[in-house]
Amino acid sequence: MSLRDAGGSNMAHPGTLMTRFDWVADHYSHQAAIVDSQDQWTYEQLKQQADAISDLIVTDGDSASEPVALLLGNGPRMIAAMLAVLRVGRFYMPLDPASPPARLEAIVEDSASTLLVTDRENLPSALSLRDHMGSLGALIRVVNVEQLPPCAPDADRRPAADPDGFAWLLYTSGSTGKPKGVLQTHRNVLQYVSNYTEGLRIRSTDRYALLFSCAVNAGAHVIYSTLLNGATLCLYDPRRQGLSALPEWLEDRQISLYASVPTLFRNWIQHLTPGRSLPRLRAVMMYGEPVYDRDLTLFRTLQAPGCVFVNRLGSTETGSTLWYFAKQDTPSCGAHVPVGYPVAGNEILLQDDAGEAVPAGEIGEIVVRSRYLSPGYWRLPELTARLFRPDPSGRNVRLFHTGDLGRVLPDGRVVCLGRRDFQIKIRGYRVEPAELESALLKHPGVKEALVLGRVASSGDARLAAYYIPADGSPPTGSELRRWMVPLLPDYMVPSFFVSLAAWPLAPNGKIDRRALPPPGHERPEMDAAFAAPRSALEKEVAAVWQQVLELEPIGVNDPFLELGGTSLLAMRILARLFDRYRVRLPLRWLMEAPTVAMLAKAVSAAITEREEGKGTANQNGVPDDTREAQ
Amino acid sequence: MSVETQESLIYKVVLNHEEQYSIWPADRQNPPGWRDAGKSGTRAECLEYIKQVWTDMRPLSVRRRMEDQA
Repeated sequence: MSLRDAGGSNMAHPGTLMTRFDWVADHYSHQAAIVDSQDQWTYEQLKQQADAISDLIVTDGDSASEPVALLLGNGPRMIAAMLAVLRVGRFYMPLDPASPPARLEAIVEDSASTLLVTDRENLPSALSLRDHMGSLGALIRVVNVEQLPPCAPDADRRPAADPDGFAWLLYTSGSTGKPKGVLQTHRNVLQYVSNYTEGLRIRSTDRYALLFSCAVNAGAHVIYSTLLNGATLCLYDPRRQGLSALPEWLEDRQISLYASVPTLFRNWIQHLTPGRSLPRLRAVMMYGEPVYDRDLTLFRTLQAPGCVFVNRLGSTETGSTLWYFAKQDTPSCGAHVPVGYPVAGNEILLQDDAGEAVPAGEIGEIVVRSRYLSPGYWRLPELTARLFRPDPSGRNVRLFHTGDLGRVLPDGRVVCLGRRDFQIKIRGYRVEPAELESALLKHPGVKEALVLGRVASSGDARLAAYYIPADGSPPTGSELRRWMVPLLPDYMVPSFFVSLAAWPLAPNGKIDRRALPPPGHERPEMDAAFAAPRSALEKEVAAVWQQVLELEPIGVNDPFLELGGTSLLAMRILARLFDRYRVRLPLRWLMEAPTVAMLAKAVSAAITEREEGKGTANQNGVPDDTREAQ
Repeated sequence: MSVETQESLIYKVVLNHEEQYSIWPADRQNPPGWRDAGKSGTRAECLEYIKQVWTDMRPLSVRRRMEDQA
């Protein structure tokens, strides 16, 4: 039996998460619900624990309109506390104890929560959060789940939840860096679980690995897809248990369903002992970051016959909206693995800046039409109204503007091309980092790549390419630049190439973009050997290059383009040389003969020419007043 | 409609049967199921108005049922 037998595919979804959970807990009472490194909890035990905690939450005086904050480690107790809050008809806000204290303070402050549930281990942090709130004049009650009351209050005091009422409030990082809270309802979560149940054919015999924090959307999806189907949730904490032990754990725990960010997947699969197989593994699902063809290649090395690879796109506001299933023999189709087709209950529109549908094959913002969108952002009505818009087609639903960019392939599959926020404007041109990343990934020496815009001290946006080299001899920046020049227009070739051994990761396992090192101001690693300027003129020219390119030192034989030179920077250099020597060289001079030594020679020749031809024809491109007057 | 720019356009505030608010170009007919809240102006003015009036994110039907229960 599974959720489907209980009417899981019914669009109306009567009931709440707890009516479903109770039904499952009664049917599978002795089955393992949660397994972690220490404990195993049956459904019966989980239900009892949740009920006991719920008695701590129902007390007179708490306002039910604010979320219940949960500060607990990623374990059975956190999950029991989540269910406990739902049991009493309230909604929860999970907090990851590993988050920096300042972030936790900002979230608790924003949530206006008046009740904080914790355990002995996290009590000190909980108390300092209470003190912080106290200093702002707000009261927050702290309860410890390890100090349950001796006698349980009457179960009738538990008010029932509303199917359209809130189930949780999850904080995500906003593009401005300030966390924003996303609300979800029981009905929506039941719909998402129903989609997973159908798509992955989840059964009570499944064992689903939880590698995410309980405080993120992906974690919530894994938890409820498991627990509302009578399956077993297996907890693994990559931060505590490390990555090298993961393949063995997946085998020992007989994991059948796996979900993680691609970064994590790439990491362990490359350390899999040859010949080791994962025969029970049925599905590998990717969350949160772009998936490349190389990931599919890695997937094909898995000895897991019949396993499917699932790429998907979704958000905390929408649940999964698109997904793509590939088998081990599915052929590749480009550097980016598609996110596929709409998940049941969603329609996908691609719109331009003016809100019009883009022509077939063009890039547009992915807009979702669905009945199962988040009600909105907590205490941010203006942001909600801005991103959730009326549907002009009149189906009485809202459209959600995801901020993701996509393109539809001729066969209807959607390819996601990254965040709209990451879109960069270089000299007025719109640049999609995903396109540049694809070009870099085609180089055999590049394993992973990420391109972003960096604002130089001059105020210009310059492109910086970060890459993790493949094993063997890592390519230099010069080599990668030569690789990209024939593939892309010149304004799209990055100014900086930065090689990294590993990505800095945020707590959710995604790449922490803010922690990427800024490109250095030293001369980049390049094929040309460094040669110091010799003559006074070479020294002057080199100094101008150093100021404009913001690099030091620059050798006389260093090619301009390899130093990150662009036509805009070339114009600046020529303008400064004009100010100094009153010689005007055409732009192509610098783009064609691009070293300090060669430019110095050209300047010197131009000076000589001017001296000799004084008062005669203008041979250096200096504006000619008479010509302009004509 | 564009989420990002279009600052010069004149919008109006609209709401649906669940009293969820949004904005809509003032010169266009309301999408079916949405009615005027009685405010129009620049995008920023409309969003500011929504910030003032939309104080409860619960859909109207949920608010009603919860009030009946209480």
